[in-house]
Amino acid sequence: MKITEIYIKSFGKLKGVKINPISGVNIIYGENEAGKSTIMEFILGMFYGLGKGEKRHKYEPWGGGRMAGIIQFEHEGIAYQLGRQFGVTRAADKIDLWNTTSGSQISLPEKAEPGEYILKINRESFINSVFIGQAGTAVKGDNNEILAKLTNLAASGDETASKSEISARLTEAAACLRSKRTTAIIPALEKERLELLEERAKIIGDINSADVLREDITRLSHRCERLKFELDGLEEQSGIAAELKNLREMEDVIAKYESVNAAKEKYEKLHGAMFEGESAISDEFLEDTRAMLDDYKEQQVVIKMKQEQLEACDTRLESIDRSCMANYPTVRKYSREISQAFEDYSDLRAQRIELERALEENSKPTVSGFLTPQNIILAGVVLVALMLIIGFFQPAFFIVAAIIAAILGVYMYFQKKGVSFEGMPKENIEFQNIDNDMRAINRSMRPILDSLGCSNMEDLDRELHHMDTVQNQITQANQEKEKLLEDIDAQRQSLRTILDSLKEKLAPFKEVQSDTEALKIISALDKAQRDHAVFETQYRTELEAYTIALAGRDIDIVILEADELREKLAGSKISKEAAAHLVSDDLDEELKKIREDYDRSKTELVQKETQLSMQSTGSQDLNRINEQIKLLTEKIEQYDFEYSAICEAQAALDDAFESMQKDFGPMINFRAGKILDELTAGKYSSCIISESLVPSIAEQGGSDIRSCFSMSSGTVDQIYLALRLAIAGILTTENLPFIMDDALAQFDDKRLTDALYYLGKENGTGAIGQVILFTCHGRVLFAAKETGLLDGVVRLP
Amino acid sequence: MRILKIVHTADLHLGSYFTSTPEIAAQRRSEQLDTLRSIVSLCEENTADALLICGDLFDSMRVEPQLVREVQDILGACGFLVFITPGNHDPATPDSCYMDEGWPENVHIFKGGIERVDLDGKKTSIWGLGFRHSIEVDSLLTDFKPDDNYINILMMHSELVPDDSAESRYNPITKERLLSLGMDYCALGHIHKAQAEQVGEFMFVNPGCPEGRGFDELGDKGVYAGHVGKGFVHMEFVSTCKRKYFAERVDVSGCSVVSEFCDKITAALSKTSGDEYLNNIYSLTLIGALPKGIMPDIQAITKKLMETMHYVKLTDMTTTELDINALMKDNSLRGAFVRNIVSKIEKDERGRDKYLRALLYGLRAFDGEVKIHEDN
Repeated sequence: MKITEIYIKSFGKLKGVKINPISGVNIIYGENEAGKSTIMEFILGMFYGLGKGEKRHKYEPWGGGRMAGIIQFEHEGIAYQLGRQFGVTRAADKIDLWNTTSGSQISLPEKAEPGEYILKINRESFINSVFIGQAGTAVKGDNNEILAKLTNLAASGDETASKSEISARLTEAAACLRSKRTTAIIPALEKERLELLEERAKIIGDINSADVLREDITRLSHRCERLKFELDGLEEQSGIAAELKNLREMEDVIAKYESVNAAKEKYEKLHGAMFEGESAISDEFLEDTRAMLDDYKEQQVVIKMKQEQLEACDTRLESIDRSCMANYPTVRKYSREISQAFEDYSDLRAQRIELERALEENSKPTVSGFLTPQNIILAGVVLVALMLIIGFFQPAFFIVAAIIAAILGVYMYFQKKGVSFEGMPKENIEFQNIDNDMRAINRSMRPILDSLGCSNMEDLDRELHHMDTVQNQITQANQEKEKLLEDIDAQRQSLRTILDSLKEKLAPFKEVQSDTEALKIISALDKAQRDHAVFETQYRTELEAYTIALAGRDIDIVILEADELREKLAGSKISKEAAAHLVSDDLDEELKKIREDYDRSKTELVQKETQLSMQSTGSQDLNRINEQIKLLTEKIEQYDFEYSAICEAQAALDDAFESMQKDFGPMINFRAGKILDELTAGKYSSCIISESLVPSIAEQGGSDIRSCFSMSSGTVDQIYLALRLAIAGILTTENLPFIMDDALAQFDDKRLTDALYYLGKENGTGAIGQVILFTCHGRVLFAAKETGLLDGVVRLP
Repeated sequence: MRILKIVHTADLHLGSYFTSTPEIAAQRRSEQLDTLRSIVSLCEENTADALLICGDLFDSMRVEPQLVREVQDILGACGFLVFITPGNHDPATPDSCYMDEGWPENVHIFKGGIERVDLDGKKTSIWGLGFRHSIEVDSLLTDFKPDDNYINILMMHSELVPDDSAESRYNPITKERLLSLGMDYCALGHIHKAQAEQVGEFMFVNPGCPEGRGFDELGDKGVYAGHVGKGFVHMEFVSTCKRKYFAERVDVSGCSVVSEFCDKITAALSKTSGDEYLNNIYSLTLIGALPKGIMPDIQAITKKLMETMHYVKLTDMTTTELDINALMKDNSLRGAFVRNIVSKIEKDERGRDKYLRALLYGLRAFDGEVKIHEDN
């Protein structure tokens, strides 16, 4: 592309300025503040707009009006005319682009810039390619700035684009979002969210414990309800029981009252009947009659007793077995014989007894006495046995045993017979004689014994004895009976006397006809007196009990109250019988127990309700926190997205730089080296960008590499120019014009000449495009003329 | 033909915090009560026999006493019956406001298991049950036998689940179970988005919330109103919300100054919502390509918009106008960077948004300081 005309209608201080650059090397000469930079901005602005408002404001025409101008240029064989009127904003710019070759207006797409549209490169590329200024001077800029420019150029192809600076900006942006800084946004949000999560956990804990409290409260409420119901029921029962008790007490009083009245009536009636009026009787009379009556009764008792004895006696008489008395006549008939026989027999018996005693005396143990028949027989047997045993050893003793046995047998025979081998004792003979006599008597008495049914005299004796006994019994009983009859008569007599006395006593009061009547009356009186005493006692007792029970109350009121209470109790649900059972310690105990349980439950309920009401957090706070957490999470996610985008940008930048290092660096080194070689007339042939991105150069044929820092500012500018020219060739394939802003000012005369020569030569070969060099230095102008390459000079007004 | 006129609503969440719009939270809470008044007015206009509020009338179980009084006054002043079932946000716990004794007589609150209330002279049974805890993983619905001679309406706060094995913390129920209950109408609550389904003569409805509370409850909100009879149900959605929430993206490409942004935004909103947009609540994401060097001043734009709009929250997702192709041709580091990003986009289309954002940040870094726009 080449610019053929620049017409500044009004732009900054420039107005109506027209420049017609030629296709070769153009020098636009102007003193300081002539507007060189303004023209450069104009050119840039015409192709790519003026940017933000500040810049627009900067170049507003001094005399007023709108910034406007026209540039005519050729590109790829087409001539264009670009007219532009700058507005307040880019949107207000009016752009006219004409294809003057065809005469047609070109309609730019919305928001498209002519430079991008026609030249196909963006603003940055255009700037990096077209505008070449100075690297900097030791006066104006510091080494770091120069170094940065060169480094950026070498590294990125854009002197303003320092990779490290760009990277630092991204890093800074990322650090704003996420880093250890206290101001980092995402960690702060995450911390806030964590705090909210902790708060939420606490709230949830509070809510859970509140839920537990609610469960407890529900349980306790139900329990209290149930206990209250039970308590009410029991208290009602207790109340009824108490009232019932009260009623009973009142009814008891009333009963006592009635009883007292009854007793009083009874007593007074009797008392009146007995002690008042015409037929009043005295206590003395009553005592006397009672004594008589007691006496009478006593006598009656005695009589009755005696009559009973009499009956017993009769009974005893009847029970006596008189059968034996049937023989009494026979006994009377033979009484003499019987008597005699008994007399004889008794004598004999006495003798016998004596003999028996004597025999007994004789049987006392003596040596001779010891030799009783039994003992002799026993000894004999033992001897025989012994002989037999010895006989087994000595057979002869068998014969001895036999002889002894024979003798023993004979002895036993005679002993049985009663024959005494020693001769009978005297006593035994007498004994036998007595027995014989007694037997004789029995014989003689046999007929009598038989008629009496006896077998012998002993029997007869017994029979007679029996008859005596029976007779005695009969006699005794009869005597007793007689005595009793006498006593009874006596008693009856006594009774008679008493009755008469009683009748006599009663006579003044009543004419008594009969004993029975008298007795009856006296009994009645007695009874009446007893009754009177009883009634009186009863009345007094009941009166006392009644008075105590009444306890000073008015009985009418008690009756009234009892009626009311009865009516009230009639309406109660609990029957009196049932309630009656409750009037006990069990009910009180149960009431006490349930009341205590109820109070305890109620207290616990109130405590828990208070605890619950004091809970400061609840589900509403939870909702709030949940919403806040949600919003924070969304924010964090959004910022995380931004952060990840920045990290991606960082990674892309690193990748891009790395690839540029790989591709761009060597290319830059090579091209810049060649250009530098030309610019320095072969003095420096290599331009190397070290790993630390410091541009360095090496002399032709030399191995010594020197950093640009150690170079003169002129050499640095040469390096800068070489790099710019090299980059321009890389950044775009278009042969764009070079617009240089005093880029050669620091070159010494020789370098200046060499540089100008190089530019002219390259332009001439078409290696580089149009060159428009702005300068305020006359020597540049002179040097250009000297090279003979200057095709166009413009002097700015 | 016996017909019961009802209005069915749920999930008012009175007393909400409105965390997403803290600047107008107090006003929104007041507007919630206005919505309740609107619903009551709707009942009166329609001469409704009953108003059914199926759960989450309040946002939490601990409610400001003043709010409870106001609600009691509003409901007590109406001449029809009101039925309320406590939900998971306002369960009938011992300290719940539902245990308060100030509830008017025309309001019946179902505080426990399934309970039947017959309407005098209408031969209608309202069956209801309420949450007693904030979580009810098992169905609260025990077996019951409705009288087929009555119009039977069931109301409860419940989450509809696909089958019996599905887990839920909010009184789960299946559609099949609902159909088997012998009801003429099931009034549900819990889901804030309106859902209605008619199966033959039976209908069940989840009316959604009658007033949105955040940007997850967008668009029109309201109640369901209509008639229920034996073999006949007709319920329709009626809008009741005072304001609507919208979350939209607005293309502000080319804008550079606050006024331009505002004009573009209001034009876009007016186009979609007419003048109603002035009353609505917006969360807007600004998209589009801005001229180089332009970053929207979110605070200033928000402030300007709020001079006429009720509420708007802006998020900047704009990019810078870029001629990617031209940039890619740049042989400098910038061009290499752009090419690298484009290459990544081509390889990973899903990360496109991220890479485009990276491109924006990278180019900004080339031009100068990269500013991070921090929302307040």
